[in-house]
Amino acid sequence: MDAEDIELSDDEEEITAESVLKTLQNAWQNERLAPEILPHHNDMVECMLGQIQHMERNINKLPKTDLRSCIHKMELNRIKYIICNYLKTRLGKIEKYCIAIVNEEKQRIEAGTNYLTPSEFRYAQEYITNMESHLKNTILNHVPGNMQSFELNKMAIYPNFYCHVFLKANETINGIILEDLLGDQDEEIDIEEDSQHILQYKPIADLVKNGKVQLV
Amino acid sequence: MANSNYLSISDILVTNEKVPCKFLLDLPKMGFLDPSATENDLKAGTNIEIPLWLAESLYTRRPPLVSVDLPKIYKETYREILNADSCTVDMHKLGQHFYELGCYIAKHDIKGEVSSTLLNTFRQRFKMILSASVSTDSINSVQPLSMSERKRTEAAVVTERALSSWLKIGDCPLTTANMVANHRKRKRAEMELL
Amino acid sequence: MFGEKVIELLKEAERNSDTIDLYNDEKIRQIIQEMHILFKMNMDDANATTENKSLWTTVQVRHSALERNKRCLLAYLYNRMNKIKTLRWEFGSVLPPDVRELLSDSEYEWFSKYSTNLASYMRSLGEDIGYSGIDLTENLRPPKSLYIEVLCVTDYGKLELEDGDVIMLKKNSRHYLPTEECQTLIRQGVLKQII
Repeated sequence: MDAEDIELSDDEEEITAESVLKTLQNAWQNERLAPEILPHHNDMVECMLGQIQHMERNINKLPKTDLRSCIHKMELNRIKYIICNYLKTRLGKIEKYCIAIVNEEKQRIEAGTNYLTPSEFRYAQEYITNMESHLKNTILNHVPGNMQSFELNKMAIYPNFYCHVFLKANETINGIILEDLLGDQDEEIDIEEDSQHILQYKPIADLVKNGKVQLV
Repeated sequence: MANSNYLSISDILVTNEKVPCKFLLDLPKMGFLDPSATENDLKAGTNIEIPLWLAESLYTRRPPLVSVDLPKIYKETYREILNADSCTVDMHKLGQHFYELGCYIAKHDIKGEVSSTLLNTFRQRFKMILSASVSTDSINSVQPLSMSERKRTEAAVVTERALSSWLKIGDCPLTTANMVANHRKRKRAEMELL
Repeated sequence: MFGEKVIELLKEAERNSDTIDLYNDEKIRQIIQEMHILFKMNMDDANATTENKSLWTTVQVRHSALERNKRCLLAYLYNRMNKIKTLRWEFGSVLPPDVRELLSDSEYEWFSKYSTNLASYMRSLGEDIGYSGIDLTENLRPPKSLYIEVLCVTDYGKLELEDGDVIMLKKNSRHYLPTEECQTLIRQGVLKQII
């Protein structure tokens, strides 16, 4: 892919489209493998979408049978697939854990650390509203009085933080605490840069979010 | 447990299993719960088997209305068999929801032996299932499995097949969507019956 | 009354986990009826507890049964909701009539609302940079080649390609088409990829 310089911030940081794609790819991998929803990378998605638009315009100028247009089209399809799958994975989690996510997101929005884009948050809220009205119309409004409440908290589904994941350390990290659920013997471990491990998701959740480890 | 949420059908089916309980208080008009009862009312001290959901609900009331006993498959004799060699056990007959029900039961086991048996059994059988899922012949010869074991095995077989076809063809051909294909299959089957 | 009927309903739903069954309106109505009967019995007995204190335990038992029935009904609907969602992603936003008739009216309403919600989300993607949104229901498999060979399984009719060409999709005809344009038809079972 042609390396094109794109300015993404005021302090003249030049980031190539290639590196944005790589970061997006990592984000996509993490999102697919993590049990919970991760902070969004919307600026990168938009950047890639802009790139796609740009490339599509260029390709359409070339004759259809030009080899370059075929290769670029393949590249475009590949990028589109990554973006679509990334967003679809997020939507899937939003739908499954909608009640839990909306509750937690409300607090995160106040703190300015939201994980969902505004569109995603709207989607989540609308999803819950639709579910509520469907359940009310079909069942809840017809059952005896004291059973009619739509108990949001009971119906919430939470991701399983104790599932195991494969990860690779991007840098050396010290002092990860592994809880001993069955006893009192918590363990503290250090992991070296570039080493790979299988661990429970819970202790390394923050490390995934701040980029110190990559799920594989 | 990851699957024990309010809306999970599998959790509902697990909590439908019967467990032996003793009623601590009188229960008028509830005689129908006991198939061998002759009267309409249940007296305190009656031992009957009721579904887990009812047992848990009554156990958590203050004051508790029942005390929960261990079902026989989680008692001493069975525990010994499982701890010795759980791979030869017919899990389908013993308890379709052996593990999940066991997790609920373990809370009522003061000695904590049920939980260690559950772990032990799971470990032994997991090794057996893992090595068997590599080929379809060995999977069929493995002792009948519990519901969750079966689901896990099916997933393993599907993954194994996908891996080997990917290695052979090196491609993932586009296919008819799952629900569409199944819907058509069912319709065809229904038409043939008519 | 104590959850037997509702369990039958759930077992029925579990039996066919790959497709969706006809909405069992009749059974649901019966279960809600039973709930009302239980509730009435409880009201009567609750009023009578002043004379007979031990009736209180009976009221508790019936209350548990009511909660159980409620939980199971909600689980039945929720499970169907998830299947209906899959219908949107696999059949598209317009359901074939034989699928549509498996859903209750309220379920179809939910399906439409879900479709609308999804569409407005997809439209909002990239709107800040002038992009007209992406269709997430396309691009479901990693692309391997630009063109693929397909066999047409049913008589579909005319298909207009992006570049303006029009192809006739007749049963058993073979075509060499751009992957992007036949993805949906393959998913819907109209075309089959030939390897």
